[in-house]
Amino acid sequence: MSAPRPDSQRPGAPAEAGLAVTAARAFARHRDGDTDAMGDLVDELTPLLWHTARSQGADPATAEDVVQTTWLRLVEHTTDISDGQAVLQWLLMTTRREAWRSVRRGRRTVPHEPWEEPTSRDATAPPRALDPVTATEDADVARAVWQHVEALPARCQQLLRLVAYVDRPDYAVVSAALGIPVGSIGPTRGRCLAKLRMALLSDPTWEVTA
Amino acid sequence: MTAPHDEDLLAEKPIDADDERALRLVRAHLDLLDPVPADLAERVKFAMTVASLEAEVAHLMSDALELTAVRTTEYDRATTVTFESGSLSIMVTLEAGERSAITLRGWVTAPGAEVELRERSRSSVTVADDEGRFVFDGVERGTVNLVIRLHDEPGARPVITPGIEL
Repeated sequence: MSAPRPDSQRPGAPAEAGLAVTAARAFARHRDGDTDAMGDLVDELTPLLWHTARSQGADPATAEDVVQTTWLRLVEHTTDISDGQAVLQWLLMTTRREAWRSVRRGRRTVPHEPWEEPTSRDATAPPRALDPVTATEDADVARAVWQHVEALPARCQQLLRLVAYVDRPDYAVVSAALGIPVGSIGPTRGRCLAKLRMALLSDPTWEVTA
Repeated sequence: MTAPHDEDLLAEKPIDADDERALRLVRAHLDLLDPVPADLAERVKFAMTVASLEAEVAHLMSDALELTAVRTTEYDRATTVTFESGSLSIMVTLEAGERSAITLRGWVTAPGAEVELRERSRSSVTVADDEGRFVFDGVERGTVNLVIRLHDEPGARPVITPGIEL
């Protein structure tokens, strides 16, 4: 009758290893025939890919399509990707390219920044006031930090938006996938974080709470 | 104001705790401003499964028809769901089993078909009997899919149901 396969153990990658390493491991498991591996990868990386698509100017519906298309392309190209370490970068670059294409042929003729959209765009979104984060004083600082990010050049906004979703070991991968030369962010702070830091240093909201 | 070369100096210094705090706050703010759709990852996984199996997706015909009137707990009920594809129909009845586990009884218009139950992190396979009936016991709550394979018909694509919420 039914013959359940044993639950596969998720090899909890150490946090400091970063997403690139986690992704490489999951991809290796997938190629070895572990049917859960890809699902784990999807859970792990979908938020980052969502923000990649959004930071390229895709509206929410387009961003969903872009993320889905990217993952389907990974299934198609499983055998073409020889280096598992490159999976994260492959996913980021594919998402970015798909988003860019979709935005160009989409309704909008001028790419726009996602944060320029009216806040009422999603009627199904939970009311923001109910989120616990808004109840903390951190929320005020978060808003202030975000305003500074928005004042940075577009490339820096894209980069910081994604860097916020990865750990330090992945910064170089993210910057490479965005076409910002590796080394401009990484062990050192890099241009974009330096610009943000300059802005924060002259902001009393930040000074008081830091 | 700070001179431009201060930015150069800052850029060459290592990332510190303040940078990480700023990035954490950016993330917290984006989580509010631009949340990832809650079911996006699940939909992606389903699309990937369909693609990798080259499966035909069966369509939901009827949903959440409650068969029993007696309901002592929220799990103490049976629900019947019907799916149809170009080649077959699948009927599924869910019953509360021991503890919170569920018994999934099904019937498919293809006796002898291989029936796979895909749960979150495992899958089980059985074969429909001569009348097309099959049973899975001890199914955990969550979203499951059924994949039906007709090994008697060479070239037939597998049929997959959309996610069934248990």
